[in-house]
Amino acid sequence: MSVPLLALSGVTKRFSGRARAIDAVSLEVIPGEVVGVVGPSGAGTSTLLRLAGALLRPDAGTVRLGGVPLDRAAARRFIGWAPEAPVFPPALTVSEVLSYLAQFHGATVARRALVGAALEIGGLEPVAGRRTGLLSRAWLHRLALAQAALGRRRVLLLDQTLSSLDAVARRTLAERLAALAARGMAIVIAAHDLAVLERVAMRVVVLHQGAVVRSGALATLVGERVLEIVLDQPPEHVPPGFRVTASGLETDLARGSVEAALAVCRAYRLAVRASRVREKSLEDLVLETWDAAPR
Amino acid sequence: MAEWQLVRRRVTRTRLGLWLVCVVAGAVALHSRGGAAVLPRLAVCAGMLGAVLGVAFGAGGEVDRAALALTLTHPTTPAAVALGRWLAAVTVGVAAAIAAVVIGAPLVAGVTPASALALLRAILGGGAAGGAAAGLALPGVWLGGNAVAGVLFIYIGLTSVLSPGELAALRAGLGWLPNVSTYAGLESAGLVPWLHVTAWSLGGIVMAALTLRRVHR
Repeated sequence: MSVPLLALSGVTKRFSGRARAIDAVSLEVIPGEVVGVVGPSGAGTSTLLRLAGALLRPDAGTVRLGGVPLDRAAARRFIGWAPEAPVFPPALTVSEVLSYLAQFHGATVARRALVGAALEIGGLEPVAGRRTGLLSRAWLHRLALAQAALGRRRVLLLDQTLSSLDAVARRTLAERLAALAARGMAIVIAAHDLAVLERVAMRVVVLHQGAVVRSGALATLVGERVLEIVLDQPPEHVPPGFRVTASGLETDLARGSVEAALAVCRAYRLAVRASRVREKSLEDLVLETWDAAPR
Repeated sequence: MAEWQLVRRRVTRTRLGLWLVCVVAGAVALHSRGGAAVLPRLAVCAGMLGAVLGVAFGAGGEVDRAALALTLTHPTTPAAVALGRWLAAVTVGVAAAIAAVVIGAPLVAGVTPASALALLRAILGGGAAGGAAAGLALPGVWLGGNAVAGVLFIYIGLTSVLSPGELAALRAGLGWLPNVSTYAGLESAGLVPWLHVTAWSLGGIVMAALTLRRVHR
């Protein structure tokens, strides 16, 4: 087992006059690992990332980088952060912004190499000479990713960075993130677009009201099978273990077979028109968590 | 000098360049008819207004202020960023002071090429006055946005055109603030104006750094 590069232990954060935004969360990320943090709006995903990057100070618990308690100076050097709504000086071009920020990371000679590498990571070569004030949201997110990866960063914290991209850009950036992870970088991604995480994340943490409600390897969490059943008309009574969908019902096949599930439908006199088996998605997982959580 | 990059590009890409031309032209037009004695006043006026413009265009915009949050996730500190932005604004002020003196000197009666030392002293005074103006403007815009820079610009402009009687009344109330009348004496190496300028420059950088740290902690 590798030593965690980033380790949060019992981290709690409370904002004035509100319930706990983050409640005793522990999370370890090893070098080369890509971890997805998901949850409905207000679950605390952005706050968790800010705590991990020392942009917020926890009320309780510790954050460690390479086994050492994290301070702001170390975070600035080794942890890259791409915010949910990135903002850059509007009069500067993309390469000028990267060059400006690269000055904080190295000498003049190294700066050009840093900027070149960052442009490549973000796939920003086509807009390198364009002013940031004229960039679309998707390009701003790419620039946010590029600046986060500048220098000798060992951890990347990406807050919705991949969520507003088109499918092609998403695939390209997902491949680049995988390449960064292969070089030993630890990456934590908060995303509402769960399809993105299914492409890049190795492990997923589900947050609800600031607490971790599920956590594990993506393959384990979403590998279960789901039976979708299309009904001729909406069911009057929903059998236990089934969920209502737009076209009928669905149920997990973790413990039963397709035949057994269809037999339950017949027992409830439901007119089954069609059925199919699919793998559970990350979205199913988040919705299940949401449905099961107390409110 | 990382921060200078931010301001340098804006001279040609935004209205900063145009504003600087207007400031220099306005200062020369206002002060060029008073003989050689007005040269320090001309440089101070241009230097202070130029520095305030440098702050407004380099640090005071809403997007620029928001972008500071991301800048501070890189290996720098609020104090370094504040010092860099102050230096960048002062550089703009010095450029305005140089332009005003170079353009204004031939128009001022009694100034000859032999007065090179007088010109240099005037530029030095203009640059120092710009430092004080930037020291006041920088924490101001980081707290209140470019409206603060606008008020400062008008204040400095007004104090440079008031009559001696009006100035005396104003100095009684606002003499502690950076103003053209106080700093016109910088060139003659008076101690009080230099202390005034130093206090506002250093105090402004410290205040700006503290403001940045508080807003983006």
